[in-house]
Amino acid sequence: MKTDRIVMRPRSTAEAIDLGFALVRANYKTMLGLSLTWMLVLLPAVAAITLWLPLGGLLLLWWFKPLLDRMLLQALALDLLGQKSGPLLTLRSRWLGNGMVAGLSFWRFHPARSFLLPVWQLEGQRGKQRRRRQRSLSHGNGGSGFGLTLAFLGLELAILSGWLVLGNLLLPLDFSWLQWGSSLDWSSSQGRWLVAWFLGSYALTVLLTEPFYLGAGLGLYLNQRCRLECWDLEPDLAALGQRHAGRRSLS
Amino acid sequence: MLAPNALDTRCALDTRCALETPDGVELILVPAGPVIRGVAWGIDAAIRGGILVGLATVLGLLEAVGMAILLLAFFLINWWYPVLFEVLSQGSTPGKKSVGLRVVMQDGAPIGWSASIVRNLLRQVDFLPALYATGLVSMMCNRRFQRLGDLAAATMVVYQDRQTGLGMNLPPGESERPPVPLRPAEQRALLAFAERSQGLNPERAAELANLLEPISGETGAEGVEQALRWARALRGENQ
Repeated sequence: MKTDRIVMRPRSTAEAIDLGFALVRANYKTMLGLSLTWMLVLLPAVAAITLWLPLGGLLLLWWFKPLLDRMLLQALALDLLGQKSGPLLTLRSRWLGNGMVAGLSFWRFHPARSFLLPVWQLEGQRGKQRRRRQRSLSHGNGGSGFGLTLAFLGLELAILSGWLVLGNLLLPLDFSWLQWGSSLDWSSSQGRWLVAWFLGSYALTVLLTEPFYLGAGLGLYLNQRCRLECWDLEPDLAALGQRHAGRRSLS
Repeated sequence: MLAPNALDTRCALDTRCALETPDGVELILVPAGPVIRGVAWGIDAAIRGGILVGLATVLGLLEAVGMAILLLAFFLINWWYPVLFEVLSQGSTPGKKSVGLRVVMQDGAPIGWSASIVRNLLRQVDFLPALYATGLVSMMCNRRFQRLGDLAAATMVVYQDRQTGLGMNLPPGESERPPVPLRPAEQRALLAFAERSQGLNPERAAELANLLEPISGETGAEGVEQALRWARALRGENQ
């Protein structure tokens, strides 16, 4: 692949993740715009489900993260290809389809979700071909896609508990129900405040972490393509062949 | 690559961070991000926890005196473990060393006592409000992945130089000079391809060799062989 946006080179796994972070940081405004759009779209559903099931909103946000990932990946892909990639331009390009339903159902639980999303969304193979592709691309990466998901579970937990502790310190919320044996009435005003605070904390956490999770997965994907397919050398070799295309016939 | 479009004058993103030392030598450092540093921290935490549990078991036999010594040990290990290792062991605590990281000053110099003390004191701030949330956000905002302690001490955590395991040897065989003069960048690309072709799946190697068909006149596995012969000549092997 030819791109002027990043320096392609086979890297160590950790460095490939860091490259993904750098790419996300360079696009953070777009990432933020897309994340807010995603939240606005889900807001009515979250509000509705909260009335029925107090913490159902959290589950809903969690479940629909792959939808956000798709938008984010689309934006990063556009940026890598040297196209303009604001939130609106991204949403107008083709990012739905290609395994959308699978992404929100059984692939939702795939342990290497963010590493494989570029295969599912951008490469667009189907059936047996896709499975073979998935296997060959994971060759020799030591399960780093799964490791990344675990690492981000930890990161998310850290940031989420950061918000929750901050709320405990700054807001007049009562956390005594956390003690063993006590219970909480979610429909009381205290309960409603807590639900709102949990939802807000989780939403902020997703805003902060999900783009980096997705970007790191893309970093791993790009690195595997460099390592296994010499993607970084392809443009150079092609240019070399082209430059001398006319010469050989002279000699 | 320079482009007329103002949008494209941004430079390509890389994980490397090039520094120029006062004597004009370029030094390449690769700052390390939160994931690998989290792993290093976890290993260190396990080591520290292990030491403390071990001490507690032994000192438990001494009752009150033991308790006093344990509290002292707790203080020393908590506050001085990272500082001592960073300053005395080339910037690496055991956890950092095991995953290949070290701490250096922003300008690439070795870390000293004051910088190490500052960055490890401010660990407490980075930890707030819970589980290093502040430090994580700070790292994500920063090109060099510095947490607040790193910013205050002007330090950063970088990868130790390691052989990447790529680009070592060409398999032995004949060599042949390329039929056309090659620019330095082209020579580098050809060498890299020849070296890495050994680890590629044969179909993909052939696909790439086909790009050189205008020069070699060969395709497929023969094309790969031809590229290897040129690479050996460029290397100056078998001459």
